[in-house]
Amino acid sequence: MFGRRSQRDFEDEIRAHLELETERLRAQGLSPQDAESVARRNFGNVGNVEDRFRDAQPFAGVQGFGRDLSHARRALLRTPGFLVTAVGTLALAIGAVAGMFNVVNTVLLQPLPFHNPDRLVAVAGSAPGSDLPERFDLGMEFYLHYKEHSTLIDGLCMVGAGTSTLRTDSRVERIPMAWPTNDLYPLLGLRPQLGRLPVPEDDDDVVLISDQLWSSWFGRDPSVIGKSYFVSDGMKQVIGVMPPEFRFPSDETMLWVSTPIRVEQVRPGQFGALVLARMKEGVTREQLALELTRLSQELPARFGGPPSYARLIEKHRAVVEPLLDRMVGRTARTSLWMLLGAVFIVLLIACANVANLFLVRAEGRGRDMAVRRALGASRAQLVRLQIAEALMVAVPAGVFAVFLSAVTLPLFLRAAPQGIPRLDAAAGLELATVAATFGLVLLAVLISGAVPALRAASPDLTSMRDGGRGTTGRRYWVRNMLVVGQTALALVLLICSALLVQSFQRLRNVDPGYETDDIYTFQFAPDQQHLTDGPAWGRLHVTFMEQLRALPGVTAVGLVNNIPLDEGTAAGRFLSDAMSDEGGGALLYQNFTAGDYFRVMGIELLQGRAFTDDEAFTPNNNVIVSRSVATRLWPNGSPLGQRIRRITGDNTAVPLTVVGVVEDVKQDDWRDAGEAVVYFPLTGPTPSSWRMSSPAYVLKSSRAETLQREVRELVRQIAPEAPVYREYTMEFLARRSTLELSFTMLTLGVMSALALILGAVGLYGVLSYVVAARTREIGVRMALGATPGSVRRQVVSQGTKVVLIGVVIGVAVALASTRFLGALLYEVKSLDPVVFALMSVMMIAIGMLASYMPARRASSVDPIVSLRSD
Amino acid sequence: MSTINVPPPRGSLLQGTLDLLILRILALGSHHGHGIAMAIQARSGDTLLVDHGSLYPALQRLESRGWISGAWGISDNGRRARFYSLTAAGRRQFAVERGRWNRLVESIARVMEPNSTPEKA
Repeated sequence: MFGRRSQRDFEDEIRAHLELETERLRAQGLSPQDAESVARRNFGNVGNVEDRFRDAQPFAGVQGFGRDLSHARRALLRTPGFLVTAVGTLALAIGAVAGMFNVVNTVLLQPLPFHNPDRLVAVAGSAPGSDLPERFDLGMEFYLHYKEHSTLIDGLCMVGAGTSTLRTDSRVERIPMAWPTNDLYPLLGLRPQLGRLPVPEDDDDVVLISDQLWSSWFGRDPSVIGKSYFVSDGMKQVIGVMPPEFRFPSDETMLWVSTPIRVEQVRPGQFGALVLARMKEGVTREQLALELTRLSQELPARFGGPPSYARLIEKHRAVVEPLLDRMVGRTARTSLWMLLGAVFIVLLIACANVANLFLVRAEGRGRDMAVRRALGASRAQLVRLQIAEALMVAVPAGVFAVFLSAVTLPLFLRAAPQGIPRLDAAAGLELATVAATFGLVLLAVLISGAVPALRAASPDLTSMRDGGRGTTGRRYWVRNMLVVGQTALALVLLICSALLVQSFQRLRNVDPGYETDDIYTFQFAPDQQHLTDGPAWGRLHVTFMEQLRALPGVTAVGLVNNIPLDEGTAAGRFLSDAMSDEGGGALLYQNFTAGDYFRVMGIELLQGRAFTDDEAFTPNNNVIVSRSVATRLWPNGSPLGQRIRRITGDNTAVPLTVVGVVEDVKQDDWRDAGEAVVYFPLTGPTPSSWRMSSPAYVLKSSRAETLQREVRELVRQIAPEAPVYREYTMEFLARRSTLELSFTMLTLGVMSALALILGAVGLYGVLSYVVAARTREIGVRMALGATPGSVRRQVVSQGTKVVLIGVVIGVAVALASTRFLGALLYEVKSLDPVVFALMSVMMIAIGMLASYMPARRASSVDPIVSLRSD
Repeated sequence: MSTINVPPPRGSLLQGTLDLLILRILALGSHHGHGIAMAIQARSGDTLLVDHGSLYPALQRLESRGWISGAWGISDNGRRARFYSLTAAGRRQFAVERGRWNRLVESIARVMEPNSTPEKA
């Protein structure tokens, strides 16, 4: 009794009843056939009773839904074309969103793998109204003073970063490394997996190495601890191996050189190191920024420095931002969020398309649905059936999507720009992503299933009467709304990507002041006994340039300290004769050069002369300035022969004479203005003017792409101890400098093309259906004298009307949203009217095209055939 | 014949009375569904026609409440049928329902009397 009765048992009982009743009726004298039919009539609706039994069972809803699912599966398998289209569309769109979500989650949302990362901040400076950049990194004096006096922080450290030489017995290379103060490790809360952390007694003689370096250079041999190698500028002892998750300040950093900072080293005004702090519990960034700004004002009194420094500090405002924001950077953050938004829009459009497909399908079965309703299927049952179909489409799509993004995400990321922290980790799908995918599946079911479900549920039994051939347009409004939405969303994407394309084109057409074709560049870092001063060093390079010039196909060779698009230049303060010492002088960039650098790079020599080879190894006071320097310092006279003084760290002035003027160059980013640069000859005014950092060579050659091997061989001959690195063509550097924009642009371009196609297909589908459903009406019209042209016009105008509404909404949405692109745009306003107009026109044109094909079909309706077919 | 061809008026049974009638019939002894319908019809003097379609869901309802229990058996004319009988709980429930029904009928009868004031009676 307490066991559940099976459906079959219940059906048996009813059959037994019918037999008993038939028998009774026959006993009353009815014929066998009559008896049976009367028995059935007396019973009423057998199926209905059986359904009531079923629904009364526990979990009847679930069982019923299971039945719906298998029904949906069978129904979908009967229409494989529909199934493949719907699943494919959704899988592509869900896969794209899942992949982008994985990236955004890994890079932007997951906390940094440090202790209490939400309290870690980067401290930078700003000085509105000065000639410094909008935001700049700080110097040692800030670090020392903040560390001693800030009451709102639990720790502070300073990190310099760059590339330098690591040399073991068997290998020498330039690798990315960092020079942090020792308080970095407690600040981030990380310990070495092997060995120990540096202590003050270590001074700057010890290094920690990364897990990756330990693997690739030392084969994970624990005996590396305690050994000494040449690092950067001397022998240093390896004291520890950091864990794999310690990747700071960049993912690529392989080695950390212990760098103590002493008060006596401080040269006020030498900026450029990352300062990070841990805020105390409950402290806000604004509070900290206020405190640090106040503390900065005490710096000139404590550390001295030139008058210009004191004036700069007066303007200084501390900038405190979350460490993660600083590490990812603003444009990368904007790009990633925007791409996630874009793929999400594509998903919405895809859902609308699938909803449309379902609607067309449901329309084809309108009669079937109406019959079901008439036979007593409840509204809820019909909705359930639709939802079941949507699930049967969306769930496989979700599964495909996970596979799709797992396979394509690594390929996609390979094309992504370097330098975004944790981006490589995003290649593996996270559990969160898979979970999110199923959220998306539910969303897809809701959007693509609910609309047809509600329509199926509407008590529209009349469709049984007229066989589902409605003749009014009123019934298409749901579908029209879907097309309006698709059009609007596709247009938003189109406008965004058009703005990026415009920016990219403007950026590629910028004249940076140099050429990028047929130029090969590299550096090498010699470390030989005789290289003790500038002249010796200069001779080595002049000789080597001769050897390079002899390479076949090489027409000119030069060198420069910091080559554009790869390294930034350092800035210094200079005074012209017309300037007073108190004014602080002008902040100009400085570089040194030798050989045919200007000629190789195509940097125009405007006046005077280039440096001679003699000047490369004979200390002298000659300089070449760029155009902006000349116009700033000597707006009225000729700059040639003018004298300027360079203010050094200890506040002495070195006198210099201008011998030439060259064009400005854009050093880092083609979006920036050309830099005002003072070029020094290789050796400079005194034998030890420059730390002997390694310059970048530039070779003009039509074989720029293939020079690497020959150059390496030449270097090996003259300096076997020297690593060769930063081997690029200028063309590559130019591409790399715009990679972030071009990558975003390309991805967004693909997304908007997809959106456009899906939108057009959606419109085409709706109009095709409308035309098919109105064949009879069109036939009547044509029989009454309507011309094919007027029929075509009517259909096209119907489609265009829908598209126009979508365009208006799309433009409105784009107006409100394109400003988020701001950080990515170059010389294009986020509300550029031309782009908005062009894209709207294009959208309308595509809409008309999509309407034209069904329209032509409508106009080819043969009135006789269409009327006879009913 | 006529009783067969005239379709039973819908709702000819008061709401909720079918359960009571089933319990009443089963209190006399076990029956299969068809037998219950026939017994109700016969005892009412052919005035109460049970809608066969609603009989079985009602039986199912009563069984799931534990008031009756069903088991397959063989009918008088040798056919397989599901026989129902009252459980102990069903018997108690029948007593309760019958008391309630009698009170209801008395109340309604009093209301329906032509002279409702006792003085004039």
